[in-house]
Amino acid sequence: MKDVEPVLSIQDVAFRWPGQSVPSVAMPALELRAGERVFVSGPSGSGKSTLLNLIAGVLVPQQGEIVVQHTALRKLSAAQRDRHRAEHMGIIFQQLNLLPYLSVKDNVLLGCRFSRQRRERALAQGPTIGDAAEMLLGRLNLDASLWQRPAAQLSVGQQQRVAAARALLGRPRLVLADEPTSALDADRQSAFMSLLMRECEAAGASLVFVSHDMRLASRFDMQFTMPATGEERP
Amino acid sequence: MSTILGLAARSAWNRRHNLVLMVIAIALSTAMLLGVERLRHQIRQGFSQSISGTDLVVGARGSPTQLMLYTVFRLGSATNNMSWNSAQRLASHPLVAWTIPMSLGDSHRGFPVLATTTDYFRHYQYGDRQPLRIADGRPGLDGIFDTVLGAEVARRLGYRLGDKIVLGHGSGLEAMGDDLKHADKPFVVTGILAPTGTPVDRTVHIGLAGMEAIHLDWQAGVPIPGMAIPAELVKKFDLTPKTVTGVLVGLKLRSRAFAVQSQIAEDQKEPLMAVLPGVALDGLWDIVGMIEKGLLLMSWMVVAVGLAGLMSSILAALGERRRELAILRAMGARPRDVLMLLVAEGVCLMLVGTIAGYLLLSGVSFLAAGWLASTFGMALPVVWPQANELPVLAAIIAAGALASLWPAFRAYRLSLSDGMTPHL
Repeated sequence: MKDVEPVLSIQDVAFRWPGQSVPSVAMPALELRAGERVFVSGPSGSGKSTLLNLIAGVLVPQQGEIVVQHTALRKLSAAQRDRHRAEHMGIIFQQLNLLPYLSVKDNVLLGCRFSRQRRERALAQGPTIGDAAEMLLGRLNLDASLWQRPAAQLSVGQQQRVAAARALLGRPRLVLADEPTSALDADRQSAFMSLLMRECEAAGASLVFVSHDMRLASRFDMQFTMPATGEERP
Repeated sequence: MSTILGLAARSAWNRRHNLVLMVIAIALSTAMLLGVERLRHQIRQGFSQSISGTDLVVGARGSPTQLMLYTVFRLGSATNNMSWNSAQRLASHPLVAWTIPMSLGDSHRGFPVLATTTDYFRHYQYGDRQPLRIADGRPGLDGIFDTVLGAEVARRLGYRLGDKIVLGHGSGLEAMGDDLKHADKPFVVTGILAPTGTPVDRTVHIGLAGMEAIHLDWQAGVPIPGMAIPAELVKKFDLTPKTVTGVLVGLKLRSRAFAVQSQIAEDQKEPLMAVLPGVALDGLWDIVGMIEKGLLLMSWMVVAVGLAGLMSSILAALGERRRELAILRAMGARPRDVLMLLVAEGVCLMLVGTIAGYLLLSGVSFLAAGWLASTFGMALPVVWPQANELPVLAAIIAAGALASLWPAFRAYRLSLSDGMTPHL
């Protein structure tokens, strides 16, 4: 049974940093259904990262409504938004995604540590959450010999794939990716994109992908361009 | 909660080299503060218990502080003495149980020479009314040239029973030449006292008769020219002292101390005074105690510097940790989890540092115990934290926790504004 309701819905959202007159993020409408992928582009400083922070519920817009997985973020307390994020969202950064003092596998398991629901869903991916994590790492072409290594010893490309595994473990409804390929060379970019797309689909997750690299846009169901008018963060 | 603490532990382990330095800094300042606190206690106690069991100290009218310095601390040179007659009248007073006459003035290689009687070894008490104990020989001054040495004198100068020692005239004059020594009348070590941790350890004890004997052929501080009385002949002279510096008095009834004190002060034959040793020692401590307060202040400042270092180290590390905190936020950690992470680390650092400081002090105390006891007569026992030290330890930990609260709060604010994307 397919969800009719959108996984993510944004209505008339505007966000201003304190002391700014012009909103740095202004988004009239966006709807993302289960399994759909949106490409958000825009020059640097156009508020792309801020948008992800809004969707994740770390920041709260002054205006408008963001609904993730049937829940209006505005109605949640800060702590509830943090839990909501842990339960339903997986996040990949541009780089330095991993805690250097944890092993690769523990980094992948990190997302499940903050949410029981996430842990329980991970058990659907494997007999134990550790197995589920290993399976995901394997699917992302990370060799078993790397799993117990400290994350800091991996190459950037490997680290990004570990981050993807972490974002996907426990089947979140929504994956937020903030320029995850910008630190990779062209070949690896393409390989990473393919893996990410494939695994999002396998996990049934929708994807919000932020990048300034328009070459990647063609792989997505829809595209949204941030207006360049936004003021940069102070 | 346990997630965050587990992560805090792993994160701390990752930064262990820096943290170990912080723990060392905390441990050193804790050990120093605690050590000073213990020594201070010891010194204070040692000082106020330099003498006990003595009800009154009697001397010529003058400064009570000086009388205490002479008779208890064997310091300074007495300028006005009291007559032997008065000392004897005192001894026969119906309320007086015992007296210890004391005469000071000479020295032996920097150590004060105290002329007294064998009663000194019977009645002198220190600390918690402990009597003097003899380590070697016998506690008597019956022979004219007998001498009983304090523990430190014997140890420092390497004297044993039977050794002959030559006293110098006055104090600090020995170095001026053999003219000012009583070289013709050496004394024989007949006893060595056990250590007491009081000025007794630094004292060379001789009999009053001995003191008279070595000064028979002296006048006005120099040998009388052409007059030399050999040691064998001194017994032909009257060796009763004319004066003494002071007399320690034990009463039959302690409660009559004030009455006897005023009787002595009103003595018709000689201007005398009687001092209650406890009161006089307290007065002296007010002067000496300043040093001790300064020491305490200094060690608190060491703690403050240590904590300031702790705070700045945490603050400096915060910049590097913003990425770590942002990752945790993205994983669903709440800002207050981040706060917890840092506070827990700060509190643990303080706990570990304080315990390490205590262990460090115990180790040093253990290793230095012999040296401290023999050199300063002080005991720095290896003990569990004492009841009076617990507030000190608690204060250090609390201050450290407070000091780490500020960086933690900054991290909290940062992780609120950074969210998942720290602007580095």
